[in-house]
Amino acid sequence: MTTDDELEERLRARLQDHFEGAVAHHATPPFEAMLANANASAKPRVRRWRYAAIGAIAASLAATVLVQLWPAQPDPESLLIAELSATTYWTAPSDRWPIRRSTVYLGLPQIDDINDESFEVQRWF
Amino acid sequence: MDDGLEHNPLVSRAALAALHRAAYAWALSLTGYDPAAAADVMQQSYLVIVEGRARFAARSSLKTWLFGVVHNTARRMHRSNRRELALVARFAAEPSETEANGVHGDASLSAALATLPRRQRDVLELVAYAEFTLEEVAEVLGISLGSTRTHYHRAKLALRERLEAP
Repeated sequence: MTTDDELEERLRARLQDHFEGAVAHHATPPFEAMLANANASAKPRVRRWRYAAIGAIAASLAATVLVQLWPAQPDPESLLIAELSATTYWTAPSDRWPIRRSTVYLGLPQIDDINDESFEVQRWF
Repeated sequence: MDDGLEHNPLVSRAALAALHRAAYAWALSLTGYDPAAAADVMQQSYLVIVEGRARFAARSSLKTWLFGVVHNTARRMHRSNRRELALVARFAAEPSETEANGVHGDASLSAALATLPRRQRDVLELVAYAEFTLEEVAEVLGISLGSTRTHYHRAKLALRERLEAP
């Protein structure tokens, strides 16, 4: 009786013959010529440290530009520094940002718009 | 001698040369036995190796790694190159004319193989012709071992059924 292994072995041999026949049908291109071609077409590789150096220079330039373009400190007189007490609750206009036990620094150009009674922020940024 | 393999110090020119024919056979199979497309795949694979875009780290055998590089290159070319796309898509779906016509000898086997899905044929070929283990086949094709076993088992069953059918 033919065992499963024998069947598999026969199938494998048949497959080998088949694939060998398929390959033999085509001439194999020469290895040396292909490798030489590959060498001739290979692009010089930029090493990773070069990428790192270029990145560092670019970051440094970007930092310099940012520092130059950064706006100057605002005039202190135009700033309202509102310090809220520990028990005070203050609610932003949207009612979504309750702030407690915090010191809030608000850059508000129109100090007159602030009413101590209602502490209503007219304009803020 | 400068063999252009400085990016792959663990790969020797002689070892690559010894595997060249088997790798070309694999490229032929991946391209539906189209010699021009297979040569393109091999040329591109060697370029990838020479440029160090694929590096052999000796985690597997050199043969497994090389077959994996060829497979990935063929897939990349299949995606990026319209000509290869048309060729490979056509051949992936159907047997090549020469295969279907039994030019390579075993006509019934050719016909039976042609009915198998591409992945099953690849697994069968790598096991039967390239003599890889299933673990190595999984590595070459970039699929799980379980999936490889399933493909292999189904391929054998399907082939047997078709070959034994009157």
